[in-house]
Amino acid sequence: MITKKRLLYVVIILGMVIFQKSFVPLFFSGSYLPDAVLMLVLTWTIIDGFEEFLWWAVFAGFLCDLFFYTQIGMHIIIFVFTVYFVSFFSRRFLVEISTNGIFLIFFFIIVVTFFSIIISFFALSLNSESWYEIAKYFSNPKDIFFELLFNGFFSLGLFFIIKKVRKFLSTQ
Amino acid sequence: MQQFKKTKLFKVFLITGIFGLLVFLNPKSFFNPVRRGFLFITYPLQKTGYSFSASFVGLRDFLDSIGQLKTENEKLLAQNQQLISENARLHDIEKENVILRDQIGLLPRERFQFEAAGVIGQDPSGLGNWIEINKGSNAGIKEGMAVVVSKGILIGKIQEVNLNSSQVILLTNSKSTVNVMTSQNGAKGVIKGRYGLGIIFDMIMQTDSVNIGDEVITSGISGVVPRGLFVGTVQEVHPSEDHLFQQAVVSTPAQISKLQFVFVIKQNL
Repeated sequence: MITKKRLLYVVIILGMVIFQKSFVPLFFSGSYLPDAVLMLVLTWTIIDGFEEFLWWAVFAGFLCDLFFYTQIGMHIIIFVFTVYFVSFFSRRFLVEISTNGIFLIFFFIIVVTFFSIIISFFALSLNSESWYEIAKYFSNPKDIFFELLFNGFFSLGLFFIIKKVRKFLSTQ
Repeated sequence: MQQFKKTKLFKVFLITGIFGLLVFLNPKSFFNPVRRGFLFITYPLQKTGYSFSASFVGLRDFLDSIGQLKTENEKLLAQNQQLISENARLHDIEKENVILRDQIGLLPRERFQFEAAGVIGQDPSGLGNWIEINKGSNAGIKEGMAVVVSKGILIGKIQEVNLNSSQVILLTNSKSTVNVMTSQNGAKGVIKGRYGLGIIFDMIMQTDSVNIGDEVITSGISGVVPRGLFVGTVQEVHPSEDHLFQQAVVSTPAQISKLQFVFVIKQNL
């Protein structure tokens, strides 16, 4: 049962990383690309909680850093923050697909998307002299708005998928 | 203290501290064998994912273009006629050039051996920093090789080579620099990327003349990228911040975000 669960988690995370690298950039073809892996981590944390999902988030971050040719650690930090932040609030409030729950999920999406942008900005600035240009790129309100919008759609879709996965695992 | 070590916050601090240090130190080559292993295993999935995405995009573009087909067709017809006449003129010049080179004992111009490759992944950050192609060291790809589209438009260079895939660093990447010149006046300089914001033709001498619409081609000075590859056309010219040089904004005709096939220049024939 545990092996089956682990295998399923590995397959879903790996699949989502490949989806983010090989499907999303060509399909959306713009500077506002949704972050499917970040949304997967966010949604899974709401459902699984901090203790259960922390090391999976580290694994997802490590895979992202490997596949996206970024500095090893960048995505891990983003995802670990996401897990902590989301679990901090979701422990206190009931997060479900209801009016209040959806508002709370959108609040999570906004905060973690901005955090992801900030960390990416700092990681890029470490290896570059032209930080002004990076800042200019990351501060486009239209791009940020669309990124948030697409992240919202992804998150809601993933919420239902992960619920199904949980249900499948609990019936096994 | 023992109590704190068991808290969530401690775990978060510990992980962030360790990996923050890794980000800062950035030991690039240390994780390369792991990356190569993962990329080798997942290669078929990446290839399938990209072609799946390409089919969706193709369908979407087709639906989008239905209304514009007539005007675009007229525009292309006019452009085609113009290119036919220009092509005929260039053929004549080429013949003349071969005869003149022969007469003055110059070697023939560079011709290249191309390796066709399919794109299997792109930079998911939206910065347009790199693409990944489905040819690697087993196809003879090496670091630094030039990558072109339409067998003549430069888009980038090979950065990292895996067994059956390679990372191509694009001209829009800020770490990418290529020696170039204008084909009209021979004004020399380097092109640099600006984080997805375009390409800059930099270090142009104040005494050199660069005009809007000038064609920018590779100068071949460094020896890594061959001479004569088309980079783009000059859109805007302005002095550099320190006023020592001129800078120009270059627009490339290649639609990087929609690329599906590229050519790697393996060697000059």
